[in-house]
Amino acid sequence: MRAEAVLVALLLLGGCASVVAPVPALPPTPASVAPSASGPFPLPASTGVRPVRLRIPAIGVDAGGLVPLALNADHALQAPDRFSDVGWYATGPAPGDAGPAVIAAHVDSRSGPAPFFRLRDLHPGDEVLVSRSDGVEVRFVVDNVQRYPKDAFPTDAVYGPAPGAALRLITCGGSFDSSKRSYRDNIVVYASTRWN
Amino acid sequence: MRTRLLLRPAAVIAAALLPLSLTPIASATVTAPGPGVGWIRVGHLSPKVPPVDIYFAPFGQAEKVVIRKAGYGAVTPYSSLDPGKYTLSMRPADAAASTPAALSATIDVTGQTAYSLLVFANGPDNSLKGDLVKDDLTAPAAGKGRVRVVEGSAAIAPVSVAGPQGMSLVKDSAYGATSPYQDVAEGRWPLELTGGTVKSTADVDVKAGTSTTLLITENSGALKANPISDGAALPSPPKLGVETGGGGTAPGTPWWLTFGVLAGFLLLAMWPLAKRRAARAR
Repeated sequence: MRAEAVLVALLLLGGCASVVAPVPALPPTPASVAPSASGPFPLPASTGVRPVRLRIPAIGVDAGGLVPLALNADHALQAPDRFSDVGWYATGPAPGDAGPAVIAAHVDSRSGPAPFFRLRDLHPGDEVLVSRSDGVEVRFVVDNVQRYPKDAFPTDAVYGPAPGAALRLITCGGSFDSSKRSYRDNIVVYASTRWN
Repeated sequence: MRTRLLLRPAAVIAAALLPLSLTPIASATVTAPGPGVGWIRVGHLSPKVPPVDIYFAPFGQAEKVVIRKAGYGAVTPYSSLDPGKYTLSMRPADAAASTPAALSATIDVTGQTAYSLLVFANGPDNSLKGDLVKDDLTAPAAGKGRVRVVEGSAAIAPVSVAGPQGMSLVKDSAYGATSPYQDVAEGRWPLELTGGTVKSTADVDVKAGTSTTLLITENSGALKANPISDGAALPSPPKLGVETGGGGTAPGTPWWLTFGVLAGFLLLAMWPLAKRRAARAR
């Protein structure tokens, strides 16, 4: 009886994507300016534009209901709680605004493929379409697909400043470490907006 | 630092159209906007020149219209590009592609670099002149945003831009000048634009982690300020990778196999117990 309980506990614990309680999105940083009658004044609240749908025709992705993602306690990007969800880093820019917007989803669940199963199959030139809550649809073009070991993840390249609208699609890849129930690598797709 | 390119109105030139290479001197290493790609945008800052169509192509290939009817004061969105040489031309809006270009440039794009081709009418005899400036891709100091001023007003010039608390972005900036970037605190800045006796005000929002170009233009004897984004960093960039997989498709270790092995192990472990129980029952 006890052994069974242990086994069940083991199975629940496993998973590269162990379920973590969602961290509430950080409130907008208050303007760090000295109070002054003549300004600068605090910025107005953000417009709250968010991505609502992601389509990647080349790999058959069409996902609605994107969930907001925050950071875990170790400052790593949270993965979507459900294997079937696609998430976006809500503290960063909305896709289509200046800077690197980040969208992450699982490569697989414990039993089969998840939304970003074929992310690694993308090629430069493939298109990625994001619909936003303000009705704007942004067309990104894949620049590059990279695989990085998680313990050597190039934070600056992936999350560094971008002049125009840029997009980073992230999932797991490489070999699976079954003792940690975690993939050893991350796949990162870099995409950006072009004139034509 | 900046390379300038002389461009002449179509009427004047034709034969004199030499594609000049614009290769700005590389500045300090910047953070990649994505592996490899560079970025470009084009600004029309010649008050008396009617709207133009912008043609663009990799060097040696037939140009295609990428932006239509860009009028005075318009700056295109950025386009990412693979590093290499490109040709860019401007023709009067809706003119045939065979029309001689009012401006033509060859641009050598380096990866991880962002460029703005700003077109002013400050060449000889007010001819068009392209100024290829580099845009900042480094993150400003924590809590600050980065701002510079492009002076695109020809009739009302020079122009000064100042704010509260002694903040001064430019002083007596000439038409066609691009100021260096300045880090300023995040917030909504009430700015005052001054050009001779002409004065106007503008509220400009500066977000921490962003870079902004403040475009000064003239409009019926008044000065206008239009802030455009030169880029943004993630306000709090995540560390490490992302845990986005359950392993269900990992080769070799499907979940049922793991489960099966564990279940088998459990049975083996319980076997002596079961045997003992069986023995006791006998």
